[in-house]
Amino acid sequence: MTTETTAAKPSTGTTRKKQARGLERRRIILEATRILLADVATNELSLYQVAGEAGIPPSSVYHFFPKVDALLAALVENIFADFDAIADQPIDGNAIHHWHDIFAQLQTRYVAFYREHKYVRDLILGQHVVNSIRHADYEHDNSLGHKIHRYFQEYYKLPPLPETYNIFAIALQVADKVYSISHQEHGNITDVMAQEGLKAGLAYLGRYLPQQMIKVSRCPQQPI
Amino acid sequence: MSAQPAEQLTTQQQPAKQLTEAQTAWRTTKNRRHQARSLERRIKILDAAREMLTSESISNLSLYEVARKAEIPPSSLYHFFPKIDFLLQALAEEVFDAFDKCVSDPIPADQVNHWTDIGFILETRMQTYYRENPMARALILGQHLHSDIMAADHQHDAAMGESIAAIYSRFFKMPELPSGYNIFAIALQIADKVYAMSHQEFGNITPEMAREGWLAARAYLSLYIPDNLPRNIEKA
Repeated sequence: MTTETTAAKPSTGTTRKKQARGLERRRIILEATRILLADVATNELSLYQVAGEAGIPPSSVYHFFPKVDALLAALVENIFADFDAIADQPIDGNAIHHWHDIFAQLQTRYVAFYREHKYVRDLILGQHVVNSIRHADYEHDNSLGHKIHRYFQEYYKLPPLPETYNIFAIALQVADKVYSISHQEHGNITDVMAQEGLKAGLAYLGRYLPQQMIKVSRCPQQPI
Repeated sequence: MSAQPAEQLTTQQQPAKQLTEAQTAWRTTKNRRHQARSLERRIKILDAAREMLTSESISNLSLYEVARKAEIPPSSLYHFFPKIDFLLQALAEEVFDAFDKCVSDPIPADQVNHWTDIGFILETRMQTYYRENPMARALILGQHLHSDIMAADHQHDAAMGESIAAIYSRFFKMPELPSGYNIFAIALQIADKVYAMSHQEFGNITPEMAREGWLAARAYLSLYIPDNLPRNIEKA
């Protein structure tokens, strides 16, 4: 369902130009959707509205995204990329006094990102995600979990951790769930619930990571 | 179960305008018979939908298919459930009733040695229910576009959190807890989130993730409930 018509066509000189234009249109459509989702609920969004906002004929929108689901799935993929970029920003090593601080720094960034973008809250915290993205969602959680795991390893000597699941991925989800409760109730993440999400994630990690962990003696400013 | 609710419906739906006694009696019997049949149809529809609803089918399930499976004319089905959302809501109500039962079923006092035993017993009941009901997993643990179901689940968890708080207080002398939110409701959602991860990846709650769900919820509750808590009820 998500395969794009353009990709299926045999590649020739003109199709390449077409594909460049197609990519641009796709970007415009996604941008228009983001703008619309500031006011419209995800389950009320129509492709027709998107076409209007993007200034693109509805038939063209349908060509790229035959269903609203496909459009939302594409947005979610972009959000995942944003999440990755947020995790990739370096951790402030001087502010790490306890392992809690690593997770707290990351959560502070995520909360700020959620707070800023209603469409991100709706799509990620509102669970409006479509079936086609399901597996990708899980994979993405895991890859974020691994990133966080690497940060922890960079700073602390970790005890042996479960191998079949990633505790950092679960901790992220636990925090997200609390944010999601807040989003449901208040339309955004309140300060109290931002704290609560962080606490819940840390409490879960605390089942595997001892309060006192020995720090890794660090070679200064080594890239991860 | 079919006779009583039908009667209740009849009395509730008495028209406000004045009718002769005979008219009322005639209408009541006719309504009653009509309503008994309609209740039966409603059950048939829900049975069919319950069987058909899975995480794979939820986004494509059509009222027409449900009508065919229930062997009921589509027009009749539309009469009960004009939109698929209404049908899913009716099923969600069933799930919430089952959750309520998990909480209201008695907890044997001799199984509660530590406060964590209460949550463990309740979560185990819910895990069993989820495992046996693909429909419940699809609605509550799966991802779908029906945000109203998620909102309803959230509200229901809030109510359930109150009942669970009452159980803890019955067994233990509880410390002061936050007043702005219910920690037991949040704990329920945390466990569900871990189950959801498992369901979405493996199609069900694996034993490992079942344990992990409760572990995460318990870790959260432990922020508020100390390890040693005085009991209220002496063990029998």
